[in-house]
Amino acid sequence: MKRNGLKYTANALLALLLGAGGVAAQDLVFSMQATDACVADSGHEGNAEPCIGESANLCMERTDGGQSTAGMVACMGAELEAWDQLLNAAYTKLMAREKVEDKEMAELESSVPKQAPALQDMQRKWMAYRDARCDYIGAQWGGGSGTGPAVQGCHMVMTGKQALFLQRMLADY
Amino acid sequence: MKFNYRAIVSSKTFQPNSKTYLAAFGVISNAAALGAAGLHGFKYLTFVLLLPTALQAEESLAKRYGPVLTQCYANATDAATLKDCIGAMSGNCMAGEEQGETTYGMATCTSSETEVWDGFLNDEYRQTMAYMKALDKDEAEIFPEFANRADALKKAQRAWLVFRDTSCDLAYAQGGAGSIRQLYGTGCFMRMTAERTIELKQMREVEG
Repeated sequence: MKRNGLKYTANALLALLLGAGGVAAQDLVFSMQATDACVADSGHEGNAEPCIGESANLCMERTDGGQSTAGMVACMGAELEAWDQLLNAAYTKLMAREKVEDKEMAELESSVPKQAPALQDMQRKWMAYRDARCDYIGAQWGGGSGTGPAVQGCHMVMTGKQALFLQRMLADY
Repeated sequence: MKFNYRAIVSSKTFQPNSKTYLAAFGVISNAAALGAAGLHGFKYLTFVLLLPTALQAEESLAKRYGPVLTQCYANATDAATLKDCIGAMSGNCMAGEEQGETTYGMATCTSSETEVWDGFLNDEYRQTMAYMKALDKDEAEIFPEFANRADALKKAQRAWLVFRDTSCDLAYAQGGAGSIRQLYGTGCFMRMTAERTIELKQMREVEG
């Protein structure tokens, strides 16, 4: 799978010629329904991670120019946005609960480690890891036209996985 | 009895695993000063203090039960079969050791499996790094500005190490007041180390 830089230049030119230009946000045919239904079907103990990307894939099929580089980036961006909201909602609920539990333990003068700061620290380090990991994924493309979709896909999958992880924590404890 | 799960695998104070990785990856240079003997010496000391009875230190457990995992890892053909290897070795250890079913026994058996995965992780990282360097070398002939795979891999691995440590600190904190939280911590280390090992291996086999 050694890649040749010239091949990328050719890809990039082809993409330009085929008019991979703009897919305006208002033209996107996107709904989170497929992903939501898949997550619901996988059940509490099941693995919902393969559901990530289903809505973005449908969006690429249904949107005019959805299979173009810009179309792929826009469709995955829409699902990324949805996962990001789910992540933030789960994180906020979890943080509120951990703070209550920390307070209760503190009142008992317990020496158990605090959960809320550990949650915050983990989430911050996750962001740094997400960015470094997606940079690495992007670096695999040698500047080729696949870079944008690959990096966007990485952010969508990472954010989806982390949202599911936080949701599981909320459900488990 | 007070017990810190990170004393077994990796800790903020001592951080044997992280520093060993960083040294191996050339991230820090004084590898000799962090020699494995000293780090393991600390671990043994922990066990002498806390587990004076029958349970073996994790290194001899790794020797005794490690072949199960080594065999499974060598025979696995894809991500799914590689993931199926996680936990079998520590399970055998828990069943086979006299104190394997106690909390301490389970934590120690789990850490012994983490040690074996650590070895795999280091090996996969080195191979993937060599692979990325070769790709960079080809790229550099035409587009030197895009020859940054190896550098990006190193940065991603460093960020992952920190993420793993904070994730497992959180798991430990969520384990509550009982000694069960050691299992949350050690289980997190084993699972995350194993999953990253599999990812590093597949980076040479799967596009992107």
